[in-house]
Amino acid sequence: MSGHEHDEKRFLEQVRQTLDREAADLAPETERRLENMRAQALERAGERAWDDLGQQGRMSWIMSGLSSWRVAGPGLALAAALVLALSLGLFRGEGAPERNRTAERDAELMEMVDLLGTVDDPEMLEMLDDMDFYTWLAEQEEAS
Amino acid sequence: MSQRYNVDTTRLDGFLRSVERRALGMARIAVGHEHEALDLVQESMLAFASRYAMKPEEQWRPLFHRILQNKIKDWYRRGAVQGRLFSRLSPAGDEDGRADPWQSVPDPKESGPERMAQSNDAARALNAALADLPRKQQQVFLLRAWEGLSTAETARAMGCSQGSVKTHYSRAMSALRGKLEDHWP
Repeated sequence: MSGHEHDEKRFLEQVRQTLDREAADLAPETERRLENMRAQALERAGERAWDDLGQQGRMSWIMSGLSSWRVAGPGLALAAALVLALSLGLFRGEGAPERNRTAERDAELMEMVDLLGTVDDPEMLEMLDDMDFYTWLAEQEEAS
Repeated sequence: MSQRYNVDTTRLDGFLRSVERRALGMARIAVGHEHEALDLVQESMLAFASRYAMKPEEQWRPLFHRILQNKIKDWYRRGAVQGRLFSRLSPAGDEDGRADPWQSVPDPKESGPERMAQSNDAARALNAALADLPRKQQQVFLLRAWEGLSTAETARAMGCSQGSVKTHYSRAMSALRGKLEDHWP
């Protein structure tokens, strides 16, 4: 290891130790809040899970459509959603190498994280909770 | 109708315990306020647990941090709109009564008085230097150096390329070492 690399390693170790010390020594009320947060998260585990790429793909399709709905109206919203679905490879055929499919699924999952993170409108959340109709609608579009 | 999946809550609990303190530290360094940082971490935990906890475990860490980074980004956007960004740039203990978060740096438990003073100074200097970094450099550095994510995982968490991660990290390292050489030569 060169001198520079050794210095950098030592510096990083000092940074980590300092930050770890702070993280370990939280105020009692902060500790309690973290406990409560964790308990709440465990209670809600899996409530809105999206399991397979098909669901994720339909979800991003639907999200794009729903967010466009207010601005452009239903017809343009569906068109915009189809464009997004195509760009996310919802209708991708067989044949892509497994490694590329894994990387692409990973990227699509992160896209979903970003999309779902923008939803804070109660009306939108209510729609998301009632996905049966929208899933059926997406399947009709896929079939056509 | 949402479908509830079975999640191994024991493993999920272990994971959340393993990330929550560093997540809080990262959020606090980003937004400069403990209560707001706690809110961001809470929202991230809830979103992660409810939507993504049934994903393979090797995806959990970058997924959780992607959610947290999005929350931090949103906080900045809201702050820019509400003018909070300008108050964040003002000196610590600013006019709207926000406390200086670095005042709460704890005393180390097992050192003598002189080492405790030096350690507090170093901790304050580190937190100040991190707070001064541009947000992306700051968060990339913390994800790589403190959370221990790989370059690829950090890129997924930040939504950028691996090349960008390397650039942000390198710039952050250079800036931090320059500012902290008096404390850690």
